[in-house]
Amino acid sequence: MHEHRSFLEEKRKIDELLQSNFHIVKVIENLSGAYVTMQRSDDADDDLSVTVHLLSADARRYMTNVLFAQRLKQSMTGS
Amino acid sequence: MADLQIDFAGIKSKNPFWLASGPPTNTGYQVQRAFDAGWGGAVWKTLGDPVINVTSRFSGLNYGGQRVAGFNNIELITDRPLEVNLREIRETKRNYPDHAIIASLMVEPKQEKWHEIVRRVEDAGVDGLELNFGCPHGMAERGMGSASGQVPELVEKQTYWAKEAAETPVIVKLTPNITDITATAFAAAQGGADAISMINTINSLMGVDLDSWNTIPNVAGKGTHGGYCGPAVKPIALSMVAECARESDIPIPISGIGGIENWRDAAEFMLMGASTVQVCTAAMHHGFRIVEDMIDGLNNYVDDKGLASVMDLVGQSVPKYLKWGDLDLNHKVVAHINQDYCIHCNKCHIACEDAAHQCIEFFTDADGRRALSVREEDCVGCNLCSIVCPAEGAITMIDKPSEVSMTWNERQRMISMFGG
Repeated sequence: MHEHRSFLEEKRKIDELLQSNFHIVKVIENLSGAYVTMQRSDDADDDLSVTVHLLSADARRYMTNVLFAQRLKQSMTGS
Repeated sequence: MADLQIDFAGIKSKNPFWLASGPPTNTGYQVQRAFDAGWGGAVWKTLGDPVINVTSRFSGLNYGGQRVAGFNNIELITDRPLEVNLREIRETKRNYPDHAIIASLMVEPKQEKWHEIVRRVEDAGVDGLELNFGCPHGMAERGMGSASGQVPELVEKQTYWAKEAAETPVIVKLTPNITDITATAFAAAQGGADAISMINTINSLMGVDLDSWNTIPNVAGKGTHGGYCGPAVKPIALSMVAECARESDIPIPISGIGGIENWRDAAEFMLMGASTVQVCTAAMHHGFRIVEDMIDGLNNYVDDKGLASVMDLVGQSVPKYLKWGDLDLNHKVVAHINQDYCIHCNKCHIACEDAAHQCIEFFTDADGRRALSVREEDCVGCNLCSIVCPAEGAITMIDKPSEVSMTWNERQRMISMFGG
């Protein structure tokens, strides 16, 4: 019921990390969903990493779109 | 006036509508009447060593208000001597030289048996041969029909044997009683088949009489599995045609069979790769004259599409038929309820609550009436509400295209780069 709310909550976590200069470095998918590890970008002072557990299908879809965008950006900037 | 003529592996026909091998093509009398009605070709009821058929052979599945939504038979191949059939084939070909006559054949999986029947039947003047590797009942118990059609090696070998003797095009008719029909279609192509046809009938038991506990149909109280066909099998047949049509390793024409009963069905099969269609159950249900509407309808459709020839339809939809993993995960459709057409039966709400994603909810409109609307953000676009809705136009599925596409296969490749 109201799975969209779960998606919005999980999307919010990812978006907040993206806004804080994190990017995705690792994705593990298993029976429990997706575990997405995000790390601060290279120019940050620390190498703090955070793992977000995504349960909803829409969030896992969103995360992959983020991944595609991230790869595209990396290929354009050469980073 | 569109050109409805077809060339199917070298067999020419004035339209793509052929009667499939079965009860309607049992005799010259029937086939000649069918040609008079307008059928472009006929596949003669399967020839082979004569059998003895049982009585009580057919049964129909009536579903809702529709009679013969499905059809089941336990009739075997021809029970008439080969000479009688060949005499009638000769006479029919003499009287109807511009119509295609294809002989369906079934013999034991022995080289000499195939050589003998191919030579004798071709001598009668047929335009082509169809090897029956599909009938699932009776003959399969004797190692023929689907019993040999389920083994790719036997399909290839028997096709090869038939081709060794044949001078006319050889069509291999495939059984759907197999997990992957492309395996046997490939085997037919490897054996040298000029074309394939599909589908033959599906293993079935039509029902059990709740009073007598006899099977339907039954012979003196005993039953056996039969071959299922008719409108109910069309989606299965269409899928199998499409699967073969998209395989580059099966580069031979396809004759579509299975639940075709009007020009629309025929057009769908042609769009999915069939260049001729075969009809049996609909002719048994409605008579030979159904072909008149089929010809008119297809002619008008081809004209409306601005095409010169019906052959221009063939395979147009095949590139749109993909593996699931190549579909766009980002594309979204959502249901929309048109309040002007809604009859407030609540079937969509019940279906969504019980079997979908609980996104159709009640609200009170400006006039104080209870109505239903879709909570779009939770709608997964499953279509169930629009399928169960009895009011035409009350529920439409709205496309919400994404700016970028992403397939499952693309996604998995990307995830694998990140350790997934």
